[in-house]
Amino acid sequence: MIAITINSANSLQLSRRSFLRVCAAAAGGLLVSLYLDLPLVAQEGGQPKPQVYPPDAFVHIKPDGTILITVNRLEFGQGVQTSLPMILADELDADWSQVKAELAPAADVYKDPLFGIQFVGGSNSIAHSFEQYRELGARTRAMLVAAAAEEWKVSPSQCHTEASVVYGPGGKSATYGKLAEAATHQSIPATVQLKDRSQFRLVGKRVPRLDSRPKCNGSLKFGLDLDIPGMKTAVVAHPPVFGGRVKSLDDKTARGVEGVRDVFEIPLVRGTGVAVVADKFWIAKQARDRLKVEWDLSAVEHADSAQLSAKYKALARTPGNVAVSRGDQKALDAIAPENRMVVEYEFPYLAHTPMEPLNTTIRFAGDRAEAWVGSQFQTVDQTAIAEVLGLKPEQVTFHTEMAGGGFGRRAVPDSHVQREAAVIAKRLRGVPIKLVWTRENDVQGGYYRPMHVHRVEIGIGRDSMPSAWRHVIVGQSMLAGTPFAAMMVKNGVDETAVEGTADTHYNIPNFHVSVHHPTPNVPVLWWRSVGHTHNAFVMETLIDELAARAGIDPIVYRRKLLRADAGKLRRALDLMDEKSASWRTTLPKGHALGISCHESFGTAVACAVDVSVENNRPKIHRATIGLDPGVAVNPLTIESQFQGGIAFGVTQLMAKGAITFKDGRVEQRNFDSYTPPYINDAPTAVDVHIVPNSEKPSGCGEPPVPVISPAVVNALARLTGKRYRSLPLVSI
Amino acid sequence: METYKLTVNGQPREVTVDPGTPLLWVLREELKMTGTKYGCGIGACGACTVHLDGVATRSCVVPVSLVGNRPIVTIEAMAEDPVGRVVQDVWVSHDVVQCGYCHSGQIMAAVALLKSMPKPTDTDIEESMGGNLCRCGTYVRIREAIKAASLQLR
Amino acid sequence: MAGKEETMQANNIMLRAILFILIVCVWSASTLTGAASRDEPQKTNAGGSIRAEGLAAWQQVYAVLTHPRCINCHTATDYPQQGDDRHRHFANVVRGPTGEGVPGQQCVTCHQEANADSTGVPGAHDWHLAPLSMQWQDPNDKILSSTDVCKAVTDRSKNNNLDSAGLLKHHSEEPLVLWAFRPGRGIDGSMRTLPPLTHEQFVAATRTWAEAGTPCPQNP
Repeated sequence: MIAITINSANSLQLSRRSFLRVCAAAAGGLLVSLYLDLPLVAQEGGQPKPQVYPPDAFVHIKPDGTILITVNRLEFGQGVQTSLPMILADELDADWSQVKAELAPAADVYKDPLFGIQFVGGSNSIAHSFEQYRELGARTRAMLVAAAAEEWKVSPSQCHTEASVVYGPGGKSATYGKLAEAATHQSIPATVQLKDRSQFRLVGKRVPRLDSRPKCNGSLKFGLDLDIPGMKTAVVAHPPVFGGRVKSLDDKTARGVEGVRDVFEIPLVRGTGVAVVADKFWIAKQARDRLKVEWDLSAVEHADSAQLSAKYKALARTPGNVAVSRGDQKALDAIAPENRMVVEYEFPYLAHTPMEPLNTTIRFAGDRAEAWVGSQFQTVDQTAIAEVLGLKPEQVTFHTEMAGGGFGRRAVPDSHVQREAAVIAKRLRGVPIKLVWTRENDVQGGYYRPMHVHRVEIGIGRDSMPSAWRHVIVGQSMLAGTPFAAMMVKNGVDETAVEGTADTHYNIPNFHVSVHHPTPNVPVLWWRSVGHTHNAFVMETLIDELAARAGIDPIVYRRKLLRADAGKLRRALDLMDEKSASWRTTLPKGHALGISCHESFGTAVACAVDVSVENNRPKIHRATIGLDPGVAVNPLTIESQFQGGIAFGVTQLMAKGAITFKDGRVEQRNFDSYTPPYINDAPTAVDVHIVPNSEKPSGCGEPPVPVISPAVVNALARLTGKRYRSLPLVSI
Repeated sequence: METYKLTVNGQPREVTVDPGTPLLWVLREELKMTGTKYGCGIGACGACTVHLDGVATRSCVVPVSLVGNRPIVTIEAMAEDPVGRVVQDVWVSHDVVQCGYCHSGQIMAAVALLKSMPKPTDTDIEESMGGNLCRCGTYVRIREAIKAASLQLR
Repeated sequence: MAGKEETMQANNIMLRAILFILIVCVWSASTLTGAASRDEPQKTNAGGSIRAEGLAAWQQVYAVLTHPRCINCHTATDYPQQGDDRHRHFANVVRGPTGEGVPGQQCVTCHQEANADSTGVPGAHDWHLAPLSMQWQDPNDKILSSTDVCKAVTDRSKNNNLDSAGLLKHHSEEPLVLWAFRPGRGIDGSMRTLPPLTHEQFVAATRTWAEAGTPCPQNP
């Protein structure tokens, strides 16, 4: 237990645990109201919020030299559990071999410095916490040096640090492990000196992940692996149509399964369902399969893909809420018909299907609760659980578990999975309840990337560049009805629906983008790279088509059309050009080149693919990526993120990569009918090249995803002569 | 409920469960061995792969009643296995994992491949690993790691 | 005991007598029928009617062979099919060099010695694909004609050198054939659809066809 002194208005001496409790309690009422009342990113806009984060909440140096760094983000594959500690350890001058990482529980001090909630998303972990973790490392180092200097009766300026050792004049030295206790009694400096970038030893290096070995030997526990004494497992039967309700329940056979503890109706965020609680998962599932439930599906809309498609297409022919309008709106109509294009695109609902099925474990003890969740949304989930249990958020100890993928699925504004678990835990007070969503629950449970229709009218100028562009997008608003709406839905336009088009970096003078947000009865959610998933596809296939029409090389055309100030994109494009030059021009027969480039979440990406057709499917032999992410903290993680993100993006092309509805029911049920990419569907080789850059770091989680689908389809267009306007790619 | 005598990683284990209980859930919930993962329950993703009498087997679809006396080997035993150890080491040195959830199954499939084909071609790799899903998309690194393991094992 | 044996013997004699009478009656009836329908186009000779019976029996056999429970593993490709709609088997399972899959995904990776109804996976002893020589579809998954399947099945250079007795035995006893008539339940609990004949009927039809000399229909 480390005690620290806070040299601030409080000036309390606190143990680590009680510090967190006090902090959380003091923020107690605030925790909820901060989330609900304050518009997010208020800080980013107007009020700079310099905050001195207490190192003690983030760094724990043990006497044996182990440095345990607390990561304020969920680790779900992106590598933040290694890269944030790298940043801190670099400023700390730590011996990296002694560093271990852990995931922070929900607490005020772990909230995102800009957004004010604890979460991971938007590819902004590094972007938002880069300076924060640097300062934490520098502060800790300063306190260790101060402790050594005090003991040696020298000035801190006479000391220097290297690899977890403080060196002083006269050959003195002391390890961080030995100094840690004394360091905690030092005052936390208000300001710190950060390293010059040239002094980085870890940041910018290919540092292997900290969590590899336990993930390779089966020892790492994910949320689904939790086993708590006395725990029971619960599964829930959901209505086949969103919002349906239980009309009648015959649970006699279900209760007859040995090991079943309870069966009862529960409220869901939409409608009602039936919970089955049993000693073990398999028993619970068997019992659920034996439930005889009559559902009342009369009071809710039954979404139907064919009907929605027709409705969306009709809407796309009418102007929507304006997202951006510049130039002359009459310019398009003045262009001769032979120089105009009208195209329509269609995109399906997409499920995330992270490998680890959704789960939440909660124990409700009456005046307190404990929750274990692989959560991208700790603040939100903690608040929701507390609300269901009739507690204050700080009465819910919320552990962040390592998660088996997320892609946005673990960041849900309505915390529906956690609420289900809390309802069950409340009824079985004192018993730890592990709620498990089966894969069928997951595929059929909603919260999809919405379906979209785009209708684009382009007028081509004499220079073969698009001179007028009218673009209508139709798709559900992901944020309407959530606390994020205040920030990101303005004038009837949900930013997340138009990103990638409205903010295009192409220089299109007469440009009009509008959007319709229908509200079918389907819960929707962000899906890795969100609006860019469909907008980049439309933009990059259209740009390619324009280039082909003009007989201009697709890279040359893009360079010409990009705005002069699109620095990151230009650099990414140039790097991709350079690194793919050798193979692009020597493709074997039956292979074709596909090009795309797109900027999202602050990172510019350019992509070249080598594609052929095998067994009526695109075979991606190779992808060369050029990217500009600002500062690249861990190029190894970035390489993995891009290799992986490209493969993830191929989900959009898979023949069975669509969620469809008939009479309100999801037609898919598991990986046999909703099929993500296997190894043969993903590129065989991906080489990743990073533009050296000294800007602030932007993100790498989502930026890989938007570029691959248009690049592949652009290659297919060269092979088949067809244009592909509808995803998924059912046939070539 | 029936009682089954199983051999798991060389150890005799006894469980009493419903005969239809998949081996996956016997391992995870009766024997508390959570290294073998639940990804889909229908044999489509491979996260549940174990070795049953040396054969890569998807434990989520095999009821314990059909196991018989065939020895079961799981990811937890790979560190002690000559091929398993090399595969794990290469997986680590090549920074293959991301979220890691699929990799118990990936490694079990890769070990089965390498034990049967010490020098797999790219096609052999793609075919044998072709049924193991990875949502994070670590496929490129899986290929490289298997090739590296194959070289090391010679 | 002696009394019982005598009764059994008497019963036997009576049964044989009844049988003899029945056969005579049936034979007479057919002869009479034959005589009465002389004006119609005839397959009057015994060989012709046996051949006709054999061809009719083959059609029944063909109906079974091309039912999804059988033909899903008699593909011309490097993959099996599944389901009544005969779609390509999920998870990229492939034929492999011997029709048993590949080391990372053999057929027996999932398919055990018996049906696993609790998990919806069918099973039988030595689950594997029929060899390519026994493909009853074309490379585009289109089912071959009755003529072509018949030719393949009776071609001893393709059918593992089985004569008609061997074919009958195969249809009677092969575990994977038997499986088709007890195919177990799918993951949703519903029983898999059965071939159009029972196994007994299938064997009887095979016998009739075999005894007719395994005739194959001409191409139309």
